[in-house]
Amino acid sequence: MELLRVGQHRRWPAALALLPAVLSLGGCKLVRDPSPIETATELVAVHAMLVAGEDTARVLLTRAQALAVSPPLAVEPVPGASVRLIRGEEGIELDVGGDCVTRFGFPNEPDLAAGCYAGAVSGGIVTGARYELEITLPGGARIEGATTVPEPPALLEPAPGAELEVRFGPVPLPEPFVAAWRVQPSGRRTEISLRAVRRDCTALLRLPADASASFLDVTGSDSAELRTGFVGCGGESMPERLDAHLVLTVYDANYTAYAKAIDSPYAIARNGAAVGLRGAAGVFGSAAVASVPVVLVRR
Amino acid sequence: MTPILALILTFAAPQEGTVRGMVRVQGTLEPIAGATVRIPDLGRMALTDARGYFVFADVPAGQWRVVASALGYREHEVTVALEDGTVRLDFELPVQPVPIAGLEVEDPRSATLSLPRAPGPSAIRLDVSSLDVLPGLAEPDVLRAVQLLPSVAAASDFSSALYMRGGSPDQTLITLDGVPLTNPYHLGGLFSAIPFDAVSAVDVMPGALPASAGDRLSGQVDIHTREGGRDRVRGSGTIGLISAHVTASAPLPGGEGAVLVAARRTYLDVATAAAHALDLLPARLPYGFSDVYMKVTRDVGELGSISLSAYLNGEYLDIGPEEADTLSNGTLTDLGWGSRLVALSYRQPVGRSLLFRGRLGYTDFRGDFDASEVEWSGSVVCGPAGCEPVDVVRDSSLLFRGRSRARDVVLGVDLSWFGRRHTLELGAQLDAYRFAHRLELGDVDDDLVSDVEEASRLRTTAAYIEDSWQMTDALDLRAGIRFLDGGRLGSAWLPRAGSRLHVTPRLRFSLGGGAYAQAVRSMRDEESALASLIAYDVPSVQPDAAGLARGEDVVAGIEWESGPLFLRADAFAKRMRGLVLGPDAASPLDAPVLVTDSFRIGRGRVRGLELLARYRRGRTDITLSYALQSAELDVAGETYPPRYERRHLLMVAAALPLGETGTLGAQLALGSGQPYSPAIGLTTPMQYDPRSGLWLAPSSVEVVLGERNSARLPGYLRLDVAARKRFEKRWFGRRVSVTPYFQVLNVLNTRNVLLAEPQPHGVRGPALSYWPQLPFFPTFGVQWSF
Repeated sequence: MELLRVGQHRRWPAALALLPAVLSLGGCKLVRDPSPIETATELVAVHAMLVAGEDTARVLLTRAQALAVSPPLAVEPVPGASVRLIRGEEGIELDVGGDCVTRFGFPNEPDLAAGCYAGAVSGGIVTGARYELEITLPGGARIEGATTVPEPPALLEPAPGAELEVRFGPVPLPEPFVAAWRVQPSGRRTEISLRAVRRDCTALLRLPADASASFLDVTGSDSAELRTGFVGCGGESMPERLDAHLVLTVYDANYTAYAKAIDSPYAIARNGAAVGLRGAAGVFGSAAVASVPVVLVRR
Repeated sequence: MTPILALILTFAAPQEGTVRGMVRVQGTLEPIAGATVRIPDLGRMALTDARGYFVFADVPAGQWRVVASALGYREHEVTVALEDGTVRLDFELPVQPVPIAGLEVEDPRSATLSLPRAPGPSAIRLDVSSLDVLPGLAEPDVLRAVQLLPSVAAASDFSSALYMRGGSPDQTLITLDGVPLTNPYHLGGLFSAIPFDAVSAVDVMPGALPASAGDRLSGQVDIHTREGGRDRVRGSGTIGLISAHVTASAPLPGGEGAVLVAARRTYLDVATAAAHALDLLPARLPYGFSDVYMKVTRDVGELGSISLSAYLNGEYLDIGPEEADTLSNGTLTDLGWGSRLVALSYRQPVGRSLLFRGRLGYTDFRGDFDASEVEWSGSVVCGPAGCEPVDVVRDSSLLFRGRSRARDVVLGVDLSWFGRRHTLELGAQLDAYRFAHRLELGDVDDDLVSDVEEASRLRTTAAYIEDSWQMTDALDLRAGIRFLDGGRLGSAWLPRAGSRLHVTPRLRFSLGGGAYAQAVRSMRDEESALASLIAYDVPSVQPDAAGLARGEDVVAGIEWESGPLFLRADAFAKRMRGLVLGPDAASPLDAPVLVTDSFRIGRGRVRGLELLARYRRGRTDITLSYALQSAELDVAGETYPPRYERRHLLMVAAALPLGETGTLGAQLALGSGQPYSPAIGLTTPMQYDPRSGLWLAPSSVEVVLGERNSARLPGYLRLDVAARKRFEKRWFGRRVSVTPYFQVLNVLNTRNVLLAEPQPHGVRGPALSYWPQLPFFPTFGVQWSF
């Protein structure tokens, strides 16, 4: 209080000159380097997709590993969990084993089979049905999720047996073809793709920028003008004619939100849970598929 | 005959005498706003309005001493002999300079004029002319000065937008000469574009607004401008680090008015171009800003006046092919934006006790934005002499093209009736808004922006009536109601009330509150990272689905003063609904820049406690402000604090004498951290391939964020210091004042945090990296005046 008295003005400059020195002690503590995210590796991820008509449900439980550098990607399986899929009053227990892990593509990772749980669904996955997922981790933590399998879309064009032109090289482009469909409700994530009948063949759709993609996101529209992209069979060029299917997949609300979220470069989930899940990241989604046979013709 | 008109005529019937006039500065004859005029023998007091006008109605016949005083001026006393009738009494107060930190709290006693000194929780008046002792980025800054108040916060060091009592900037109305002003910023909002030397006072109303205040949910800032000297040509200016400004005023012929001109321009572009020509810099900086303000005021009739003011600010960023490689990695820009305002004001006392005020204004914001990317094509031909490019063609591809227009045409009238214990005010204002924003994206792959096509018009009509009543010598009351017709958005009746109890001459309590409505909003998403960096609003109309945004507040205050010390505390609570909020986004880096069609309608509530302490003696002035605040938004079942909220914020501003003519200024800000969404873990987001039925391996690890804005960034500490010394010289027969200054912003070089960005990989594993705020930044310049 002495400093506030009248006639003591001369002390102020000296006091103020000292102030930066005093405060800099505190200021140093506020200098911020990146701070570690302490809880980074504790989060379990669930990846599961119920496809209408399929007779097997598969759930992969993983945990990300915190590493200093990005590649190689590090995940580890979460074994020993109790995984139940419930529809109404009926529930099935999913077990580790079988070919479950072959549906999850981590080519450079240690064997994730110990975290891959699968079970047969009697009568197959039913369109319009609600399925619940209940997981109890070895430590007792619970993960819960639910999905309602969407109604299958209707693929209106092209007509069955339509010939789709395939060309190699950047020019000329293959002739475009029109695909049209109907999805209920609109706004659900919708993807279109080509699937060769021969298992050793790969058929892709063309992207605008002279590239090919496994599938194109056509959410929100009811038709698209498409071109074929790369087509190959076991390292060899495709035959003159190749049977394939044009496949339209529509997803539930969970995967619709999830697919939108993973486009974000910064975050994929909120509130400690992922879309359609409580207690884990990832997604518990469902899908329904429509397809039409087509013939890929090399020009 | 309407009841209101009958009421006015009843009150207007002359009963006793009237004393009225103006208080001006001796010499320049510029009006002094907020001067105190007293009739001590009657215990009457009035405060002058923005034009120095005062009036005492119903004064008994007799001889009375009338005393006028104002901070920074010598008191003056005259004796008037009053019979039945009106006496005009003009004061010219000589200047008695007292450099202060520029904070004026409204006078405690009831005033004859009610605005901005209506009974209730106090408004704050900033005496801008003395704020230049405080450190500023480029020059003294009106909006930065407002941020010194406990009711007002800044989102970051980079934004001078006003966040008033937990509200977003679009909830605070900024007026210049009574007309709304849009985006008065330069350099993205780093500092305001309001000509400092042209401003006489700033009234800040952070809550419990009177019925006459405009239609915003959080508050109002009225910027009053000077008229200019009426005695001779005067000039002043500043040459700073990045810009210079000059202000000049001159009397109109006959001395019946004055003209004032203030202009500012940066020379960053010119200076960097010269440095580039001398090979000192790799490229010139093709950015510039300027602003011009002009006002002409002329007396009309007895104590009446008419004034015409015009304001223009503009900025450009024009990166051409020469600079694109150096400055923008091949991006060409042609960006230009700015705001304009024209205001015509008329005021005239009518009869003994009425004052009429009218205003017609036009204000707009315009922006044109064009950015493209340079593309080169050609081939390389190699021969015996080596390889060389041939057929090289430069082309460009569109990145984005945009156009922004926001316009408001204002017509307003106010009528005040002054009685002995009552002041009755009524008025109306028409606003014709027109907004048009278009953004066309080219080769941009970014979820944060999307094509925009927004065009809207709205006409609103507001009317109000309010009575301020000095019920007893100790108790003042105010009650009024405002009606807002928002066209298709609906209408609202908005009651307002306030009271002030003078417990002792030094101690007062106040209580007030009101209901508010708002028809316009900004499309800017306050949760986006860009909101911390760019202050500009993108004005638009509230969506029909939201209707008028509505709010209510209640404020209780206590004030105490003794000698050089003044203390004030305000506690407030307010709630808002019909808020247009952005779509769900986990991170500010994830949130879209503009809230367009995918908005969500939410609610908000804010509670807080504000303390203001001020010590002033001689040339020493210290102001301390502290705000404790809790703000929450509710939308779609989620409750979270807005990203700009600071739970605690302490600010100290000091102006101290440095020798006979020098001043040492300092400003300290200490705050708790702003909210952010914490990282709660990592995951490997796989994508389902419908073609193969396989889950595709992710390309990277991603960070999962937790509950929105549930964690706090590190605290905020910043100390700015400034020193200046004034030298008086006589040049060309005139006394010239030259004041060099030196100031350092963030003298401690504290690395304050703007926002946190989760990084899944780092030397020590996953980490939060922090975006910094303003670093150590010295500036210097010189002010002059004659």
